Amino acid sequence: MSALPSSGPVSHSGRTLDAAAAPPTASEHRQVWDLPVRLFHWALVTAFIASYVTNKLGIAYFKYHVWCGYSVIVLVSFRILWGIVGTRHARFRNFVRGPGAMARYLLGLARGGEQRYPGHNPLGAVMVLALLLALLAQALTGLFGNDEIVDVGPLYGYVSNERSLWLTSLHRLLFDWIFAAVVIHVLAVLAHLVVKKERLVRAMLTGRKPAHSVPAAEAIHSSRLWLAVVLVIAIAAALAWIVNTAPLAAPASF
Amino acid sequence: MSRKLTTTRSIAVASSALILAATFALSAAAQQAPPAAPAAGAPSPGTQAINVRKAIFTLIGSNFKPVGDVLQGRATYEAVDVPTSASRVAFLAGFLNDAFPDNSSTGDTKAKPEVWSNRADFDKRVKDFQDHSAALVQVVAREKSGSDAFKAAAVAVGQDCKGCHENYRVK
Repeated sequence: MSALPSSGPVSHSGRTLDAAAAPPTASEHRQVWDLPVRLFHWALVTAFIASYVTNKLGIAYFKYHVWCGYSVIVLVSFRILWGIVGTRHARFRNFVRGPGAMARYLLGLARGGEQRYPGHNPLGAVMVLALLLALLAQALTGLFGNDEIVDVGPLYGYVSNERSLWLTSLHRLLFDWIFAAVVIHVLAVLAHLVVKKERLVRAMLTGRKPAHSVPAAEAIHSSRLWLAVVLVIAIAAALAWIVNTAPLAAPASF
Repeated sequence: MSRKLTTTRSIAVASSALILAATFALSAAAQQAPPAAPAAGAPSPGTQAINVRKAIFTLIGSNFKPVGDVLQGRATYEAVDVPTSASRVAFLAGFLNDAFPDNSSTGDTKAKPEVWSNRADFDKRVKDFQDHSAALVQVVAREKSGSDAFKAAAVAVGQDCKGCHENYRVK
C-alpha cells in the first residue's frame, strides 16, 4: 500500500498537499470515484426504485421484485468487498471516521467553515454504512419472507412459517427506515450543492471533482475494473448457487 | 352445463370442510380458554363469529394455494386441480358477507377496526373478491390451461386478497 496521507479535509484556499503544483484552475478536475463505485451507486438507485415499483404493481410482478432483491444483494456485497480492495476513496478505512472526527466535522459545519473532502466526509460515511447495511438487511429478509397469499421468497423453505412472517414484518418495517435515510441522503447532497456549491451528483456521474478539493496525491488513476468484474461475477454465482439449491416451498396452508 | 353440478359439489365439500375446521377451531379455543372464564359454556357470539371467520379464511387460503402455485411457477397447471380450487374459493367468498358482524370487532382477531369504521370500502372489496373469484371459475372452465387469461383472472383474485390484507389486516 502507498504511504500517502489518508483523505482529509482540504482548506478552501486552494492550497493542496501537492505543494509543488501550481494552484489548480477552476476548470481542472481530478478523478475520485472509480467506475465500479459509480456504476454500483446508480445501479443501486435503480434497484431500489424498481423494487418499490414492482412491489406496488402487485403479485404479477413479484418475480421482478425478487430480481431487484438479488441485484441489491450482489451490489451491496460487491460494495462491501470494494470497501476493502477497491480504489482509494472507495475503501472504508479511508473514509470511515470515529465519533471524534464526526464531532469536529459537525462543529466545523456549525461554525460555517469550509471543509471539503475528496471522498466521503465523516457524516456522509455514516450514511454510506447505514444505507449499505439497511439495504442488505432488507434484501436478505426478503429472501425468507412470504405474503401469506401467493408470494414467497426464494429461501422461504429454510425457515419456519413463523420465522418467515417475522422476517416479513422486518422487511415491511425496514422499508420506512430506508426511505427516510434515502430522503436524508438526497437532502444532504442538495445541501452540499446549495450551501457549499459542491456538485456531488455530477461527481458521482463523472467520477471527477474540482481539483481544489482533491489534492493531486489523492486522485485515483485506475478503476481496477477487471477486479470489480471478477468480484461481481463471483458474488452473483454464489447467490445463484444458494438460490438454486434452496428447497422449493409454497406458503403453508393458512 | 356442469356448472350447477360443480357448484353443488363445491357446496357440499366446502360446507363439510368448513364445519370440520370450525370444530377444530372451537375445540382449540375451548382448550385455551382461561380458567377464569365465566360459566364454562359456549363462547360469546362475537368469539364464535371470529372463529368461523378464521375457518373461512383458512379454507380460502388453502384452496387458493394451488392456484397461487401455478401462478408463481411453483406447480404446473396439470399438477394441481385448479377447477376444484377455483370453485371452492368462489363459493367460500360468499361467506364473507356476514363474516364480520359488529360484535366481532374485538377479541382474538387480526381484523383491523377499519373493517367496521370504513365499511363501504370493505364491502366493495369483498364484492370485488366475489366477482373476481367467480370470473376465475368461468375462465378456468373455458381455458382449461394455465393460459394468460387464466393468469390474469388468478392475479385479480390474488390482488384482492392482498389489497384487503394490506388495508384491513393487522400485520
